[in-house]
Amino acid sequence: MVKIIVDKDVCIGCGLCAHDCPMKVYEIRDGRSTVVNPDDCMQCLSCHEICPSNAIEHQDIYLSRRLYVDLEVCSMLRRFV
Amino acid sequence: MSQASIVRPEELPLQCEGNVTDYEEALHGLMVLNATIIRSLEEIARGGSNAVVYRAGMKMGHETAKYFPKTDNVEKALKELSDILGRQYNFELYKPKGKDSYIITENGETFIYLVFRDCLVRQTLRREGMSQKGPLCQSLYGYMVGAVEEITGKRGKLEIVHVGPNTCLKKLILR
Repeated sequence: MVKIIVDKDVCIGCGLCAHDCPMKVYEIRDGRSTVVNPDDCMQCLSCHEICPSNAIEHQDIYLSRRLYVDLEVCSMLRRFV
Repeated sequence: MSQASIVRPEELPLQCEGNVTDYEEALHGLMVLNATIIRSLEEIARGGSNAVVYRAGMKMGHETAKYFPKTDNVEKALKELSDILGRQYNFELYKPKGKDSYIITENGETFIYLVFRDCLVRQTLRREGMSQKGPLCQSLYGYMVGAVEEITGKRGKLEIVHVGPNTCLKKLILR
C-alpha cells in the first residue's frame, strides 16, 4: 500500500495538493496539509509536482517508466552539472 | 554488383536487429515526429485536431481488439486488453474506497474508472514539453472506445478525469 509522508515543517499549507488531488487524499488541517484518505491514492504524483515546497513524499508506489528521458542529453548534461 | 551482395527473401532476418541504443534513438525520433505532427495539426485544424486523433485512436482500438473473443463482460474485456497492451498503455481498473464493484452507477450513468500507468502518449508529451489533456490524449480516448466497441459491441465514452506525471485517471462511460 502506498505511504504518503507530508513534511509538516516544510509544508506551507497552500492547499494546492488538496485542490489538485482528484481522490481527496489531502485536507488542510491546522494550516498544514494532512493525508486523510491514503487508500484512494492512485499514485499520479500531481501533488508531488505541484507542491511548491517539495513537502510530499510517496513510498512503495509504481513509478511509470521514464522513456522520455533522453539518455544522450543526460550524459551531455552530466559533463557540466 | 558482386554475388555476395544479393539478398534473397528467405535470408531476411526474422527478428529485429541492432542494440538498445538504436531502439532508443528510433523511439525518441518517433516521439518527436508524433509531437510535431500533433502540434502542426493543432495549428491548422485547431479543435478539429481532436476529432482526427480520436478517429486514429479508434481505428487502432478496433484493430487491436479484432482478434479478441467477443464478450458482454466489459470488466473481463478490459482486463484482457490491459494484459495484451502491457507496456504500450498499461492500465488498471480502479475501484474507489467504499465501492463494491469496478462498474459504478451514479446519477444514471454507468462507468468504470481506469488508471493509466505507462502510457506512450504521456511519454511523448513529456519528451516534447507539451501539456497533457490535449489532442494526443484523444488517441487514447478513441483507442479505448474502439476496443470496447469491438469486444463487447457496446458504445462508450472516455472522460479524462485527471492527468498526472505518473498516472492518469479516466472514466469509461458505458452506454
